[in-house]
Amino acid sequence: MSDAMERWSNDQVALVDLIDRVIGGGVVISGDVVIGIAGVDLVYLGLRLVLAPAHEVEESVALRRRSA
Amino acid sequence: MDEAIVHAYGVVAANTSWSGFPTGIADTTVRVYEVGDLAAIVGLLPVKGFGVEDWEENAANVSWLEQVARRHHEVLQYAATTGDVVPLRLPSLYRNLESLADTLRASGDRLEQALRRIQAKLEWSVKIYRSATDEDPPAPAGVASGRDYLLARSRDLSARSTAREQLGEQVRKIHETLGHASAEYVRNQPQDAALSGRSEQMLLNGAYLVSRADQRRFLELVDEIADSPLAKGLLLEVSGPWPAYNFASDVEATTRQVIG
Repeated sequence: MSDAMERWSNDQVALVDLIDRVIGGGVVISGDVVIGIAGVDLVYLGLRLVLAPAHEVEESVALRRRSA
Repeated sequence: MDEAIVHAYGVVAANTSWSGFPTGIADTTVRVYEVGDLAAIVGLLPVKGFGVEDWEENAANVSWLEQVARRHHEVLQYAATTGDVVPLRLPSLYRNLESLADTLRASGDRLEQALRRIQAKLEWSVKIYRSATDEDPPAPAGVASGRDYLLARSRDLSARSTAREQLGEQVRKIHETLGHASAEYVRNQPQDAALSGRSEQMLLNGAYLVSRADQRRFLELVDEIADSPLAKGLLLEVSGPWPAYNFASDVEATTRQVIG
């Protein structure tokens, strides 16, 4: 891939972009039991509360519920 | 093995050669673990510090999460620029390799489908901000009476609302245009200025799944749009290529369903 094809605004990925893409929605499998780590989801949603107007957060929670 | 827990970064096709991974979470070695036609990019993390309890304890610790998330992302970023990878979101822990193998087998069809979905494609991000020079006009000043004030205020509010609607329509058109140059596209929640570090209001947080072969064309299109009247009053910011985080989201839900 050529340099021209990489369009990063910063050398390092911004934390907010990392949160947007990487954190939340994962699973933990212990033996054959799936454990969701509620705390991680809460951090994700907590940051979302700061991130977005209330109605959009509710929408996000609803989407996550549907996908769970 | 009792001292280690398996962290899966992403899923790839088996029988593809991978090497040169960056160092993983907790400075561990990253390698590929094959199960049938699929393989997972994995690392063995010390249970002490990275077990389920640690995740629960550190879930509210943003700097801990950031450290883990950055390493996770670096590995996937390397993988995505090298080949096709279905990225997994955090947390992504398995008790042992057998447990991971069971998951890969049980959700094999869906994972292969996810691999086909992102095959030879990468994700690009386009954010649109309201240009700082295009802020709302100042509130009416120097009006004589209460009635004049209300009239001026009403006109002012109406003008602002029209301007906002117009910008919203421009943003919608840009998103659609970029979407047509992509295999798939999605509009995420805008990021708040408090976390984005930008003073301008974010109007679009778009993700586009773009064929590797079409990336140059996609970027040219972004440039064309940025220079066109459609971008009047707007700032476009493009970043990428990203692993296809936004286009593999049903994978976790599937594994949850199958295994749970």
